[in-house]
Amino acid sequence: METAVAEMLSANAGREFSAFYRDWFDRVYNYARNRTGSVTRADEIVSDTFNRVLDSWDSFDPMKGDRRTWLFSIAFRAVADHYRSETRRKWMTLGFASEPKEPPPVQGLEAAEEHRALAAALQTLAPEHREIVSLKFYGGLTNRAIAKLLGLTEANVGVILFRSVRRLREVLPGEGK
Amino acid sequence: MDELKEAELFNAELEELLARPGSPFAGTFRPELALAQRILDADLSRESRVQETLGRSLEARADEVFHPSLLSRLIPRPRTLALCGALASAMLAPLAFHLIQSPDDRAAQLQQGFNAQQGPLFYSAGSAYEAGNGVGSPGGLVGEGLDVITPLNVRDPSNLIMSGSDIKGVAGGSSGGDEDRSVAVPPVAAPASWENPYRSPVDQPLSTFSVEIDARAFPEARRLLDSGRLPPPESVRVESFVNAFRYSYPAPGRGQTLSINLETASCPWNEGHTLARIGLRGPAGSSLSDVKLQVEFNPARVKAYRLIGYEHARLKAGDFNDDAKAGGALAAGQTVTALYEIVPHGRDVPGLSVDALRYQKEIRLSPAAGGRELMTVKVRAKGPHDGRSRLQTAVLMDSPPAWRKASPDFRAAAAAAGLGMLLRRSEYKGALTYAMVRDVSVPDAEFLRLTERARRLDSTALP
Repeated sequence: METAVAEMLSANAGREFSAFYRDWFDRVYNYARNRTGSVTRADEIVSDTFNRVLDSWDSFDPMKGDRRTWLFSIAFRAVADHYRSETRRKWMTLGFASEPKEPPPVQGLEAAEEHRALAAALQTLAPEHREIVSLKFYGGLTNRAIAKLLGLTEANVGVILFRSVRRLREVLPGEGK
Repeated sequence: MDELKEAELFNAELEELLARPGSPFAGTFRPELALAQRILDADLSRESRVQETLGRSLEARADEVFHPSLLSRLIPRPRTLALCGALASAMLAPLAFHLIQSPDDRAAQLQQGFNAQQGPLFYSAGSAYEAGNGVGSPGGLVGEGLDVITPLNVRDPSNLIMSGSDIKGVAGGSSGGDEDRSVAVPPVAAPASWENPYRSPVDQPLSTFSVEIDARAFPEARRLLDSGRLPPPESVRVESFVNAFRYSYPAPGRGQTLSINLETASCPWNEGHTLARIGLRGPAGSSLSDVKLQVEFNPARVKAYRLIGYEHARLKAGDFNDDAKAGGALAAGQTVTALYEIVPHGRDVPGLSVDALRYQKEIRLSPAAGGRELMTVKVRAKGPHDGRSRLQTAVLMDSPPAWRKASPDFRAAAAAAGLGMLLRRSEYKGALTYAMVRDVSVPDAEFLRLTERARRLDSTALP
């Protein structure tokens, strides 16, 4: 009897997790993509992130915050770890320009063109500003959560966010100022 | 308005809107927020090469992570998984063995005739052969095989060129710089590049590979099947299935480093095709290292050939005679088995259509090609005290009987390959079904049980 209940609980957790993966894959991917500028590395980071999510799924405490913030703090650390390991690998440089050959967009040329323009505009921001913008828009984190993650003040995050968006408007075509 | 004030307003509205589901900024009049929506919409996730495979492997892992067994509470994680799996299957195996419904009575009869003194032929759970695979060996934790999906073609540059695809390993990226290349073509959706394609002996008379078998792949697949899941196709290594059987190849004779055992019979899943089996057995007392195989096909007899499995073990032709190039190891008395599917002349080659050449007519054949030789197998290996490798060769004649008349060793290998191909979603499976695998197989209870399990789990499969 006890095992039946346990099995049911575990099946539930499994379903919950797969739904969570489906819901959030895009956002985490886009976050990673914008942080690293690379398809390959974004794939690695997404994989890393969700594996870590799975490992600590049970230890997540809903009283301490929402799953979304939790997810992106894990993704944030995955990116950081990734960069650390990359620095050790001297043969590979960091940043958007380091991987010139990306595959062409799979579908929707026009939309992809737009996305690429945005991605390129994001790459003109200073790395820490790009981090804040990515965490904000893809992760949907509150400024407080971002501040905590990056060791900044909430007001500081707000100002950086505002300035970054203003700067993006200057850089992006179609955002006539 | 001063900047701080402006920023504050912007952030207040942003925070409020972001809490909304869907497109939170749609219809906003603030240009900054319209831009925010654009950023949010900039979805490049379609370009991800791992979304599907990662999802599958995570689901498989989730099974483990969420399984609330008593053991998993007592022992810290990754190791737990391996241990639980091994213990569970070790405890369940005798029971399963007992419960297995043999498809017919033929089972019991053949069992006696075939190597009965050795017990079950298919390595069953808890067998000594596997002890090191998942549990104690370094890097052999069960979770590992799954959370790292390294498509098999990444190590083979020629494959990259031929398929034009570049599927990068998820977490295997740190292994070397030369693997981290990008090709300007997105990966093909079908896992075609995960199998060795048919090759023509006119273009490529030599097929070279080392006897490297990922010993973890088969137990891992079996563990998943036992837990009620189909293994992710890309994690299935067909050669690991084939080599999960025990084969009764004779020990090497006097003066031989190893025994080469060749056999051919009709291919069960493709009418008109032939399967050729190569079986090696090392000497009883010592192990061999750098074991490499090279097969030369007779173009007069073979229109195309395909090495089944061993996708990650392929070598360049020139590596065979180069002792600096490492090969696989063969423990004392251990066997290694490989299968080729061969298309004779007069038959179509699945997935391969090439127009007649304009600038070449016929190739020139040596007198040997005129005989009945199908292929020559060359094996190189180093003994424990050998600095240089030793070469041994054998020739297989082209006279395939029907597979029903083939030896039990041959049938076991063909059945194991068949099960692996089905689970790997092979594009070369032809008429292969689980029922056929059962028919081809020798009556090994553990293997038949696994096949039946896979059949039930695989809803898309034919009966």
